[in-house]
Amino acid sequence: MCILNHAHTSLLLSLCAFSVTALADDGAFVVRPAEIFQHEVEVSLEDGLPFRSISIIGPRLHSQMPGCETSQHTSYNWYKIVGSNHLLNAIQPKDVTFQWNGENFRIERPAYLLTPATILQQSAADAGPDDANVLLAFQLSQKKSAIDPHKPPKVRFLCIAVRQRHHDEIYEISFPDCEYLLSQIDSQELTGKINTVDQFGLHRVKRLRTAYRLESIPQSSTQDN
Amino acid sequence: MKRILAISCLIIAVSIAGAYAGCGTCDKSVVSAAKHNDDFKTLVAAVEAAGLADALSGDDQITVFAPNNDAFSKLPEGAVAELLKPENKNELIKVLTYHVVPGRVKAKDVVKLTSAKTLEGSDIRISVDGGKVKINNAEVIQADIPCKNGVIHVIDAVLLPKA
Repeated sequence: MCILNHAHTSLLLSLCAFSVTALADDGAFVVRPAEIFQHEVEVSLEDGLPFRSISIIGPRLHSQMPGCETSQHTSYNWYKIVGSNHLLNAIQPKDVTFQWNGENFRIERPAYLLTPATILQQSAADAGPDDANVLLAFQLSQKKSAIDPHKPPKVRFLCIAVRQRHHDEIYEISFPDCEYLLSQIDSQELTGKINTVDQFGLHRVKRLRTAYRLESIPQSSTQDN
Repeated sequence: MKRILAISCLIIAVSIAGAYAGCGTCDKSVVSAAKHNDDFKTLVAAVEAAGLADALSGDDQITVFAPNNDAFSKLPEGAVAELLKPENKNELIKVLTYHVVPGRVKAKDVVKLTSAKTLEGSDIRISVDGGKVKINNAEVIQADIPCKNGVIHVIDAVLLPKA
């Protein structure tokens, strides 16, 4: 992740000149579950940090993410994180500034928990990789807006790998540097249903509309502060 | 010293509460969880008639493919009443244990299997068909009800072992 302090911004701008990998076939779309699932789980941003409890409800979105260090894609069910801002604001990376394509963002509260899901196809289950990360999607607020006549898609979320505990099961981070950005797009109506299985059970959802374009952050162009 | 002990107990209590937050059935056995759910009235009556309640409430982890009341109502008329008769207890045990798999197998792992050995001794078939998870010909309609000694997956038909 490219995290910059203000003092280092100009110096590291060139190091963080990301090249966006736009994945046209990847994206997050809004879904409506047949049965709403609500639960509490615990997340920790890194090994050694305490777990913090969050309440989730959903699934609200579904996405296909390009794999980390693999060509296999991972399907994710997105659960909305609900609860007080006071508690959620405590779940933040150490560095809360983020730069993307020359624009500065602040990482705000986590908005969604993304859990790997197995899609139930017509005659088989598409499980994806066994070691896929659980992710938190953090809201981004723009610190400095660059004037761009082409009005690029608005960057909304940064997805970061997290440790997660669900009862006595702990999902460790397999790929700590695997991160994604989501930009809002003009929504288009979708049809069809998806049946999935994830760590919370069986979910039947109806696809409603496209919501976000997904972009992976290339490993080679990331730079820690 | 008492204060340190009290704080330690509080920390342990909060840790345990945190780990199991938001789960209504985690501290119950599969039998107790089923008893608290009206959808399993027929199943619970059958388990009690078979004398399996204690055996399914122990410490060993199990996975139960639990037919709901509607599933039992799909059986031929009078079949359930016949099974519940004391003289048919062995047959009832055979049917019920055919719904139980040793170990805690969550749905995400169930879909990776093609079969599983039941406590009855024979295998159940597991498949994904038309976007649905099937156990023999029954559909899993709810998955992963977590319990202290295992997990319950709800199915829409009663599984019948081969005679």
